[in-house]
Amino acid sequence: MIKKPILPKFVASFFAIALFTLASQSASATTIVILNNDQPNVGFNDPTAVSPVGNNTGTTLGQQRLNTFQFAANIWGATLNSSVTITIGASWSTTLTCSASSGTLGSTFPGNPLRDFPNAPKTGVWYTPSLANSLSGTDLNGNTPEMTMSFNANLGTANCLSGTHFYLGLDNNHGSDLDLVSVLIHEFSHGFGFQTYTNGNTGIRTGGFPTNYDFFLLDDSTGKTWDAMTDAERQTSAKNNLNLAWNGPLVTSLVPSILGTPRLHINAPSSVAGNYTVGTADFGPLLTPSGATGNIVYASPTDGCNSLTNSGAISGRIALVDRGNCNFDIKVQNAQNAGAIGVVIGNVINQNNSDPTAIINMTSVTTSIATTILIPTVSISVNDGNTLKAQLSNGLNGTELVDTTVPGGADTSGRALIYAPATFASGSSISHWDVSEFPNQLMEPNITGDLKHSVAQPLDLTISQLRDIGWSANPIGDVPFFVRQQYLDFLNRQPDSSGFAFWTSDIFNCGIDQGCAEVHRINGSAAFFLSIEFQDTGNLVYKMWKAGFGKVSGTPVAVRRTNFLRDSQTIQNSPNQIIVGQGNWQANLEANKQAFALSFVQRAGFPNQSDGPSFVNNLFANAGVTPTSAEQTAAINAFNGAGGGNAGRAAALRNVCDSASVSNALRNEAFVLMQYFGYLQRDPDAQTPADYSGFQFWLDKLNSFNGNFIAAEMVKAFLASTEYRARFGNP
Amino acid sequence: MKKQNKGDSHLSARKHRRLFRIGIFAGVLLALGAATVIAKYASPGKEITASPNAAGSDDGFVTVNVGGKKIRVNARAMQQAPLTQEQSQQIADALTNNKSTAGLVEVKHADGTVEMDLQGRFQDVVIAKKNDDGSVSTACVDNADAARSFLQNKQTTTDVTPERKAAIKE
Repeated sequence: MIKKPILPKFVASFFAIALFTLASQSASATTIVILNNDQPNVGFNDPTAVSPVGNNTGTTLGQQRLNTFQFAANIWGATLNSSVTITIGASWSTTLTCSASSGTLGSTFPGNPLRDFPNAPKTGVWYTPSLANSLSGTDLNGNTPEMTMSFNANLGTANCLSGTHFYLGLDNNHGSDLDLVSVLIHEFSHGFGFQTYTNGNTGIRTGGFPTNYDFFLLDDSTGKTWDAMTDAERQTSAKNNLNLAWNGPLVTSLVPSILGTPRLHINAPSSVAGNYTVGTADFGPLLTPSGATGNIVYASPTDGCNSLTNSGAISGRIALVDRGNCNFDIKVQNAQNAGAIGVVIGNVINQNNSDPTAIINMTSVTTSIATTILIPTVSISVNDGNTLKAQLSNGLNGTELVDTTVPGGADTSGRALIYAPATFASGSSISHWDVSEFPNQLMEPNITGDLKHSVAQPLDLTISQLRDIGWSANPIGDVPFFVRQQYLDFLNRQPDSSGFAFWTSDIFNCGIDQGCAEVHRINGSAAFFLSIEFQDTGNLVYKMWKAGFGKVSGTPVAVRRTNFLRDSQTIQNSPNQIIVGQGNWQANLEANKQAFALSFVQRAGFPNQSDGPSFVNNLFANAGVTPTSAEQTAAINAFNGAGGGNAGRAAALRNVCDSASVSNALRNEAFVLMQYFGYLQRDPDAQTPADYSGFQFWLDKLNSFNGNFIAAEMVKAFLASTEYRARFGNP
Repeated sequence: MKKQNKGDSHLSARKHRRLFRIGIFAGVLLALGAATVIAKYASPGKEITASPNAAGSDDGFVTVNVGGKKIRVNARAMQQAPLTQEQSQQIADALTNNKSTAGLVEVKHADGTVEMDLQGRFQDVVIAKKNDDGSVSTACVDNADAARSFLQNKQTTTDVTPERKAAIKE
């Protein structure tokens, strides 16, 4: 886990400075304006006093509503690229049909479609106004908002789904309430073009022209896309359940890395080994392809509603817990507290369930509990539970995972399915993903509580769908995508759940303050370089190369990226995989560093002096550093203390690299080099100009600012660079 | 930020017509629900109802006193009962022509752009219902059949498919 790095004091002070110097700058790629269409004292103008909630700092009901809309708009604004401002007309209504048990939450009008506009990619094809404006680069529809929305101001009252509320917080801690942010980013997506202007009931196209969305609706039965069909064929296709797919190239390319099937795979004993169908939880970390593996132990008490009394047996294993008597989040928290690495909830027969084959999906009730859950949870049927309980004494071992070889909600060719039920069921047809997709997607017809305020991979397909229909967009604007990318680029691993939650929250906590969000992106990204995990792996590798071999011939740096990546991954993963904060990470990291150093000093060309002073002086000289006498002595003592030879060289090398003189001298050049290695994924001289002039520019600048990367605007510049953004989408 | 002045005072006549149509559509779509009470937040992020105190009625409306304010609400909407078949039908019926392409008129712009005046149709409507165990399911619909199916279907929260989206609490 990487959370708060241990930062030098000067860095912390720079963070504070940055909050002021950069706060006015926007990170949005598109400006999305919420146009308040409400009358005084109602809706967005409701003056009712409220307390701030979930990063929503509004102190009136109206302001909190407006903040929620703007926050959702900013999620899209950070990812879509358009030179034309998008205006969303919005209001709150007290006249929407509602009762105590059901009703209307809101409606969205996606705007009048436009065709044959300047720079239109296709002629005779309808586009939503926001996309048409973006493609043309002009405001084609003038003063008319690109979409219009109305939401129910009565929700939660006695006569309108009593007790159910819109959660106006921005932190997704909605509990059993309806997360308005998720509802809004779903509805915005329709307005951006996740919909057709063709009538699925009749197959008739608006004005006789197709919508650009129709070109990607592929009927697996006929092999035709909707633009090439007759009205009758479209009418049939609209109800061709599980046979209508999206054939856009970007979505299709991402299906294998996004969609999967949740499973409990039993590894042993062989008599019950295999895949078991599971339900999932909307709290805790998402299931991963590698999954959580361990022996399965029955909790005591079996319902897990109190502290587990068999924590010794549970620790490091998967807890099997019976459903019932308390909320799911409590059960999982108790198992986690006992050291479980995962939980399997076994369904039971009780007043809530009479079906031994039924599988449940689980939600949290208490936000303060749910946010502490860091282990995965799945549920199984009564029958499957009984099968597994019979094997508890036979080495029952399983894995909770998402099986990406079987993408949930895709056709046999791996294309994401569009919702086209044989009879129009809940949710509209054609303008949503199929409900079989897993994990739940933003643009499924049901807007579920487990959505993560993300529109991009690896969680969501929506941004790719919008790119397929012609939007210029970049997933790096998506907060979860951005945070995950820092782990991949700097730590060479997938994020751990607690660290990921920390850093995403760190940015999301800025609420609607986009200047704050940009600063936290910059500081968060820099923190990966400054983190213990990187300093003791990647940065240590750099220092070892410099001390051992000096500069690479003809360059101002000590290592090429290929060698750096290989060595960094070795020290991170061999013999132990290191995630700072997890398990016995300090001892494991020390073992890795010892093993790596011992191997490193035996490489060809490494200094091989047999006496301590000569060897140590050589290392300091290679590093370009004049050590203090104390540092020199310490390194020599390390050499001698380890008995000389390779062990002595390894000990001295580590001592030299850990010295303040070497660390200080190499910090800036390592920092700049990691900008190229991490953000740009290349050596500094790998592109024109094929030299180190760019590297030298940034090193000089960083040095001139005494290492203050914020004042030098170095991280900011790399993050905003076209080359960096082009790695992920439209720059 | 060039659109920030898109205030009501700057609405063109065309926009007024369009908004009027949208308003009519929304009125039809959501009619008969009528205002119930003024919602106010008693705790962060949650709307809590102040129980209306009916003071009189005329033509199907009653005047209620909520938080010192007198408002008129539709008496029918004050009933505390599940959505009736009739109400469910009203939501569904209102969506009947939502995706109709009949009678739509194109508008040609000076730059050659063609705009189709949808008259407020092609809306996406988010509806919700309570399940037996108190959980709430939502659905985004754009046609009558979908709305009717969602509202009238007695969903079981233990189904994995097709409506596996409703999660339960314990």
